[in-house]
Amino acid sequence: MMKPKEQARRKYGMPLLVHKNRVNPELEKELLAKIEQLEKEYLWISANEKSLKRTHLDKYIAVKNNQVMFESYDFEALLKVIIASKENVDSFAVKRVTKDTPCLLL
Amino acid sequence: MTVSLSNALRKTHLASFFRSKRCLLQIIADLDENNQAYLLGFVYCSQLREARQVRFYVDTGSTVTTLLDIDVVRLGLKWQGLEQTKCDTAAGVIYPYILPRVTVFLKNIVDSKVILNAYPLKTIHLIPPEDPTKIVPIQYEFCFSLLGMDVLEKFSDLKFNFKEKKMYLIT
Repeated sequence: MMKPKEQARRKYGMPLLVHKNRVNPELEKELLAKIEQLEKEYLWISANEKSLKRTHLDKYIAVKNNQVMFESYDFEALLKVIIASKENVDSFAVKRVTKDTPCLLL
Repeated sequence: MTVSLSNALRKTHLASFFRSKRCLLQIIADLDENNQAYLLGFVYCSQLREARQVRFYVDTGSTVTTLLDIDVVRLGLKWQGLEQTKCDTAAGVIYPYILPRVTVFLKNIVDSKVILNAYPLKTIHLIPPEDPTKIVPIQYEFCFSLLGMDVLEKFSDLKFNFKEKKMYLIT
């Protein structure tokens, strides 16, 4: 018999905290793996900035497995294409390729 | 992964800093082409069915952790009906929406062990797209959100290593 909290997690996919700041170990493993994968994708984008500027200038790109899987000038259109392809939106590194290094004032 | 991280740390001169301080290394953020630090994390709130991935820029100029337009749309967050607050920015006054009871999850390294830590926050801010009813495509400028001082204040030290393109948040 599953505990109510475990039932809720399975039903709603809730990140169940096992302690004040600690995550359920099973979920922790899964989320850490996702972060590691995305970190690699963003590093790949940084490493290939020059070639991406040549081929995808001014576009939003969605990168997975070191490949540009989807691209669009419009972010919402890109989002729709990803959703239509039944891929997980969160599994892509998304970035807008601009000519110059963006100057931020945060 | 843990072993390679320890080895990488051993090679850096920051390792001696950590040893001398006897502190725990907590978070390692990458630096982008502008040497601004970003890190990947997850966000969870009652509007979401599961923890969702967000790319945060570390922003000491931001009092509150803030989700910007692209992430608000990507995560499908509803801002209509949320309370608004006033915020002064370098570009003038803005009125972000207040999203209550949010948990931010970040990758931490404690004694060379990689864990995911939860940072429960009473509120965060949402800055949604200006006019979602516009027919022409909205030009979203920010493919990221901001990790503000409400999370950063939980750490006691912040170190940059521009050579290695890393930023370290340390307790």
